[in-house]
Amino acid sequence: MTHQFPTLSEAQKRELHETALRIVSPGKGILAADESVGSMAKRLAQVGVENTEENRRQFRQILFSADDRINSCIGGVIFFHETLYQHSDNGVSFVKMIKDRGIMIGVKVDKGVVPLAGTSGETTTQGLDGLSERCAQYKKDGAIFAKWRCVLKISDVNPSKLAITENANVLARYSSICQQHGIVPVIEPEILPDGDHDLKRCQYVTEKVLAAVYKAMSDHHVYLEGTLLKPNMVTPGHSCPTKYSPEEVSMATITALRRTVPPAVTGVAFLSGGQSEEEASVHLNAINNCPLAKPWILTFSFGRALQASALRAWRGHKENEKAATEQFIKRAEVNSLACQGKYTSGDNYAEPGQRIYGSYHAY
Amino acid sequence: MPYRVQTPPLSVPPGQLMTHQFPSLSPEQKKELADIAQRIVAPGKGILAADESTGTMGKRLQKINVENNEENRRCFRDILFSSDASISNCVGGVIFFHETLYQKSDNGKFFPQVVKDKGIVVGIKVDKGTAGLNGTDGETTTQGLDGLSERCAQYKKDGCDFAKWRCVLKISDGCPSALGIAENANVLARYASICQQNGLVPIVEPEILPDGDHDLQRCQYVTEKVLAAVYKALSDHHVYLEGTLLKPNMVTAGHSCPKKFTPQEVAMATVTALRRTVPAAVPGICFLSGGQSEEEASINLSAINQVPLHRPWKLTFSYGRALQASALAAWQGKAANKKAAQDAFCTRAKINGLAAKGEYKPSGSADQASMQSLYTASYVY
Repeated sequence: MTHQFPTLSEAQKRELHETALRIVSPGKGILAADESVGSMAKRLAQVGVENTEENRRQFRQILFSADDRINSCIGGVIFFHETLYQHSDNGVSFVKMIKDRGIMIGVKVDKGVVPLAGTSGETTTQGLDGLSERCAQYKKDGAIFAKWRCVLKISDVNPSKLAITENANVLARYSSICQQHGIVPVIEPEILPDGDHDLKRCQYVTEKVLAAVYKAMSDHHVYLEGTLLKPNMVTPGHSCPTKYSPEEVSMATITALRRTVPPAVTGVAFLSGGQSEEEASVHLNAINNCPLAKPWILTFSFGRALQASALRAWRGHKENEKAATEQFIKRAEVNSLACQGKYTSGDNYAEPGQRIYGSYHAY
Repeated sequence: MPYRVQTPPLSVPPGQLMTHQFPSLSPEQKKELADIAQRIVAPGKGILAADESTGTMGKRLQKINVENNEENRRCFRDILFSSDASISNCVGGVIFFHETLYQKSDNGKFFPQVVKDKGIVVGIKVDKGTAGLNGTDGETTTQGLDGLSERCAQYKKDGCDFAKWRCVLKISDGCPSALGIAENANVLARYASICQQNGLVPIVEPEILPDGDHDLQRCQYVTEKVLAAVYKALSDHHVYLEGTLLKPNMVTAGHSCPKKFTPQEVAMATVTALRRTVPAAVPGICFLSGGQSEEEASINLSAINQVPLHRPWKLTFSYGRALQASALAAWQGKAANKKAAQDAFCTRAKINGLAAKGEYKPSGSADQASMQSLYTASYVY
């Protein structure tokens, strides 16, 4: 605990910090297009499309061929490994298509969840083996940030102390390795919305999990200014009978973050979890209008909440491609407004000043 | 995470049992604590640390050849507390030593009342000094937890609204050790938890001593590790951060470090360390002055408040020597010097009030614009 052994040079730190800033520039967020083959199977099945490499390529092409309107909405795209090496119909690599419009390239580097024996169905995430070499290769192949997803759940007995510390530790190891290769780690400790717990319980658990994550980051000497956080918003469980307003979700979320995420962290890009496209945008907007002081950028890193409509519009038919791309652009623009607190939808009936945020002492 | 597993009564709707894990503070208690903390660190205000123990006061009084007896200690505190009411523009809180809490001014009024009448919040040092950690290289923890809850309840009745507890760490070849850090973080969290239960805002003080020849970078590194451990412990102990204050050292080089650093370098290193470890929910950070001179402490605080990085907490002072040294020297133990001593104290208080807003410009120094350029150092902290 006494002496610092060098981890990153000044130049390395500067590069990481600037990359992080570019990904979450004002009005911009992340398109999470890194669904694994298995996850894509689920998405494609919902619209009756066969899960083939070609179909996966075609759908990502629909997203990546969006016009310049997305340049001011999307700061980074997270790729799945397979997609990183795919090309458009015209033979242009997807990486080049994205990079050429000034959007940062990210890559999912974890290798999925594995069970933690002796727990009640909890998991950790694997992928550390050879991660350093893989990061070096991804950097050569155009990636400048990475993503690693850990999963926790709330129940009578979860999350357990082991799950919290083990997942926090593996996230910190991953982050440390990424930074050595000039890759900004997006840190994702997702707490699933499954269950009937209320908003308060989710807030409490989120605070405990994030406190552990940042202690682990400190222990592993991770350079916080060169990281991004991808947490869940604080929401009630899916089967919770109580309904909460966007303002309540916003207050609970911001309160939890203020208590745990050091101001040095450059940005927080929320996952959408099981939220609908509109729900996710409305919540993000409320979060950005929360009257509590927020020292980090608060934006999106959405998968389904950016792609659901596009997928439904496409249904695997070539003639629907343009319409599908339009759907994606529309959600990107909406979320660009939401991450600046400027989104007024049908659901946002009140002016920002009129929305009831209530007393923060109850959180 | 420890959790009680219980069979839900049939009449309770699903989900209602798992609302909050063993609530510690009600919303009303939280509001009271948060309001107290905000009052102490209101813009332009800081803390007068007048909680020197009997032994420490002995050292101070010896320097001006004044006998260390109860009356002299009372007398000097009276000089400070009876200053003009306008002192409340720059002093948001005063930390008392136990003895002083029950002493009276020359007018016969209890000191807590004198201070409160000026709109200043009353605080109390509650720790009982350091104790050795066996097996370490001279490291310590701090004692005082026994019966602390009852003591806090009594102090609250006697007019206190905040408390202070000082832990001490040092930098050397082998220090601070993992045990030193973990033990002190834990005891600070226990203290904080107990205070809040009794309506007292805990000031959390993990002082890293400036003794040694280490450089600025080393102090920054150690400060980051210590503060990360402190806030993890506070989370583990369910402490309500919005109802706490932090009293850390500024990040400085060791006293015997051959290299000298500018106030801007001290400021950048300090704010960087805090940004990496102190959650935004903490309302205020009140620096201790340590071994700094009065002027040094003010200049550094002002520089800290000018650092071009986002600072989500108030950054102010909790000074002992750096507010009292001139007053003590002016007093010399003589009643005739009372006004001069008070003037000296008020002067320092006003200066630190300005420093807490980043507005202190010692005469003859460069203007703010040129000072700003000193921050854009090539060094990435």
